[in-house]
Amino acid sequence: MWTWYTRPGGAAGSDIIAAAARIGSAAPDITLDTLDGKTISIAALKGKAVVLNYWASWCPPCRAEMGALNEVYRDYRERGVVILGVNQMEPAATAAAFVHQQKLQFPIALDIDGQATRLYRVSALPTTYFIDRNGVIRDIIYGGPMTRPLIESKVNALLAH
Amino acid sequence: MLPLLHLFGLTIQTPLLAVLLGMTLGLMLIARLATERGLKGNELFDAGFYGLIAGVLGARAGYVVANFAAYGREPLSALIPSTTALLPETGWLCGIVFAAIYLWRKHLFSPDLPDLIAPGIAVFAMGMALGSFFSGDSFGIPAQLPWSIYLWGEWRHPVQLYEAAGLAAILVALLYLLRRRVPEGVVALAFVGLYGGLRALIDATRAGVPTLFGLRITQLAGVAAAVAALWLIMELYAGRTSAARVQTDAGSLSEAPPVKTGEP
Repeated sequence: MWTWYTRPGGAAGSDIIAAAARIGSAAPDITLDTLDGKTISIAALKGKAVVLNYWASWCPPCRAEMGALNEVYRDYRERGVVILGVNQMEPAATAAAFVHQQKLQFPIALDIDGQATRLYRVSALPTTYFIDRNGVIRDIIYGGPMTRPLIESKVNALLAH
Repeated sequence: MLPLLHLFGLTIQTPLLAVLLGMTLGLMLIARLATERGLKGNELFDAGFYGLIAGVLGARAGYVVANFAAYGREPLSALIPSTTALLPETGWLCGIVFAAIYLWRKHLFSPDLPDLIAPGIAVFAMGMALGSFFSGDSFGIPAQLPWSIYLWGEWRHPVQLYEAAGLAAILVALLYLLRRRVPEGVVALAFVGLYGGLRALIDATRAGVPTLFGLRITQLAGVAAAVAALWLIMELYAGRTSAARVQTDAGSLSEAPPVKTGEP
């Protein structure tokens, strides 16, 4: 009787989950300006596997994993994988100098006011979200540096979804 | 929800901390209860601890093997610790098998072992529930209550805390039963039954649970576990009663005066 009365969608309430920065939920949409003057959004990347990496140039593990992210982007971009680096609240010139120094090829977005950081509840850097082609978050990695095999294994899992 | 805690320059993953704490305290409780009963508590603790290490290594090895295409080029990176590059299935398998082999080699298997392990599992499950609370997983359905928590954009039932509190009550009940003279296996079955009942009750407030015929699977499994455990406990008591009766009958027969046969 109890299990019937309290069934989902029954008298006790619904199970509807909104977009949230958690595994299994739709990735919250963010729209940001990129370093090369364009605009990029998570919604526009639907249909592609997305690696959303929050970073800052002062953060040592962020710096340490950039090479691995760059290599994975180079090898997987033709297979529909996008790596989007989101710089956390640094001046555009600082982010640009870092990107130039590291020879990064993947797109870099600027979270000038920290809104994207708050929406994704980023409380430590680096934090990386793995989003599948349907826009669902499949994995989150807090901290770093990530190795190339780790990133590659997560990207392969995204492509398999 | 507090997935990360920043302390003295360190970033600590609170869900992992809660699970490890639950596991350690659970093992310590098992060891203490075993020692009280004259068993080798320290070796039971070691069995669990080595099982945990084997589990972590097994989970890591499983992940590397499953992703060999990625790790094959940089095999040394498999040695870098990571909490997200683990395969739970191989971890559980390695941990349980290793702990079982250790128990067998040290002759630690005894009929009351499941009864001693049950309270430790309750403590471990409390750690898991608190870990879910910190990570925001296994969350509740929306509710406007004085004790609701704000999570994922809505006020919700703190179902992870309901579970932890329920497990604390179950732990007290199990420790009470252990100190009474109950048949072997009753404490372990009581844990299964009470935890099943708890999940059937509180999962009414849990969101996102898979359903079967429109009903939550965890609630159905909880009811099934509670009924099965209750039935087995009744069987154990019935078995003990009939065994005692046979013993009593045998005792009265042996004490009965010899039947006189017809003498000339």
